[in-house]
Amino acid sequence: MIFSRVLPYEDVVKQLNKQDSIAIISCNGCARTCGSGGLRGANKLRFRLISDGYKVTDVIVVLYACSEPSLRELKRKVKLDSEVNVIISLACSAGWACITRAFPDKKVINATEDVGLMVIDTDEGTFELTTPYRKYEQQVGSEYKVGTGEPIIEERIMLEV
Amino acid sequence: MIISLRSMSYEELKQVLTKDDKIVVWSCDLCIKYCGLGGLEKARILEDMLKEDGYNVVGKEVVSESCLINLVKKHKVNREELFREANTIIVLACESGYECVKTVFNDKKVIKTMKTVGVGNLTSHGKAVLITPFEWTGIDPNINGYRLNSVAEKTDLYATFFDAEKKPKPKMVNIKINGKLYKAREGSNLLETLISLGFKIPHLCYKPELSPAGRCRLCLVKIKGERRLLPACCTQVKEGMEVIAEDEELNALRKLILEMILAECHYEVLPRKSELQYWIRRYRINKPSFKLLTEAKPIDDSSEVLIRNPNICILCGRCVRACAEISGQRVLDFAYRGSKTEVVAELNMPIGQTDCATCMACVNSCPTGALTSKLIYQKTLNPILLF
Repeated sequence: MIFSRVLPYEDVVKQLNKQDSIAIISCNGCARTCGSGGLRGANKLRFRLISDGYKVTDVIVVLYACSEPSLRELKRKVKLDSEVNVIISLACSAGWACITRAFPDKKVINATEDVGLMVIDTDEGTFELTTPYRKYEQQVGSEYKVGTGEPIIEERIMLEV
Repeated sequence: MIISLRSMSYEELKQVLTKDDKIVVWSCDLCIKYCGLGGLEKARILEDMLKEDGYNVVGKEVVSESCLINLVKKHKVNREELFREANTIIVLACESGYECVKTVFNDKKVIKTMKTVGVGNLTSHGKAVLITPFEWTGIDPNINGYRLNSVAEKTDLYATFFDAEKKPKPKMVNIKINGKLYKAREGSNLLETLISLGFKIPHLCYKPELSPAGRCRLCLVKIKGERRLLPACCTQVKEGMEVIAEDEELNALRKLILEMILAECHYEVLPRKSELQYWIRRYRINKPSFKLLTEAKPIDDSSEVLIRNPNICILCGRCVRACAEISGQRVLDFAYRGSKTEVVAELNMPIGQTDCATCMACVNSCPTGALTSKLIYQKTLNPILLF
């Protein structure tokens, strides 16, 4: 699975106008596991945007945002509000690319950043960064909570990386 | 999805193996399968190639997500005998999947065969493309993606499976199907053989990744020398076998069985694209002949990722076997008896309150759409579930 981290809120709103009509598409796969996506991640961003005066009309949670068949099914079942001109992607960079291609007439903002590959223990509720992108090389072996992405100080998965 | 490429040739793989090694071929069933380098089919091919070259392959193991370390641990416990015997594991998985196997089986020789190059997409054509490569590849991110062949060229890796170098030649035998002579692989599953030869044999409980159960009885065939009809999914191909796979009697029987299955299933809510719908259409069943026997049950949408609709469950047991065999979790099982039998999660709890690892092995196995992935659409504060 891929570990992606939500960008600072300020970096996301910098790309928005108050007149924008916004839809949030959130991934329910890896991004939900690492706390950046899923319904929880989408609602967190949505309520913050609404409280700051932005117009969020639609929130969609799709199983795998990185899969074209999955997004095709989404487009078949869901009709986005006709006013929507901006989509915020809460998925990894691959999910964002797929959403961008699926909605060529909308501005698609990537609200996350890829950290690297992770190993998950759903019984323990933790995940560990194993193969990072260069920017996060220092954090290899760090552990986080499943569902929130909060760092764990104590090591739980005894992995030799 | 994670994009990985093969990092060693078949010759290099053989160099790290000895003829005394007791080998298990381990494959992940997710991203690596879509990269064309893993999954059951590829594990079988590698097993055949190694056996043909005189290596001792004691088994193969397919896991729904190899990067979930708790699933890897459970596979080790569930297949204790196999892993006690084996001393070498060849891993067909991304680097995260390999790390998990290496950690759990630290007393064995674990061979890494793949190198992860980044993250990418699954396209509409079922192919994987690389979007955001790791920096070491020297390739820039590309929103439209790179084909794996071009990535392999730039990174000095292989985009094809081992069989591109050496095709295995399994032992073939002669069998007669509907009076015609065919060549088939000895010991292979008869249902798979019939399907590969182009016969449209209905089946709902069989899936190649799972152990055969023979529950739905739709694939019954006539075999010369056998007193009764036999389910093709539980029968192995033998030399000289004579099979009647399709005739008027079998087709009538299959139609009747399908109608009986529908008597336990709320036909009107069946998804259009399900396997059951396909067979209903193929056997031209416009309206079920039998009265519905079951009462409507509540839909379980407690999980974050899946929805379980017991009203269209036909008790084929694929999800139960997928949860036990591919996931290793054993969250789903049958409860009650006779006409009251149903699939339940753990102690008959909502699935969201169980130890479900959300690996989707059950959803990918379900032939009716009783288990589907969750798509949530919120227009207002009230969520709408679409499935």
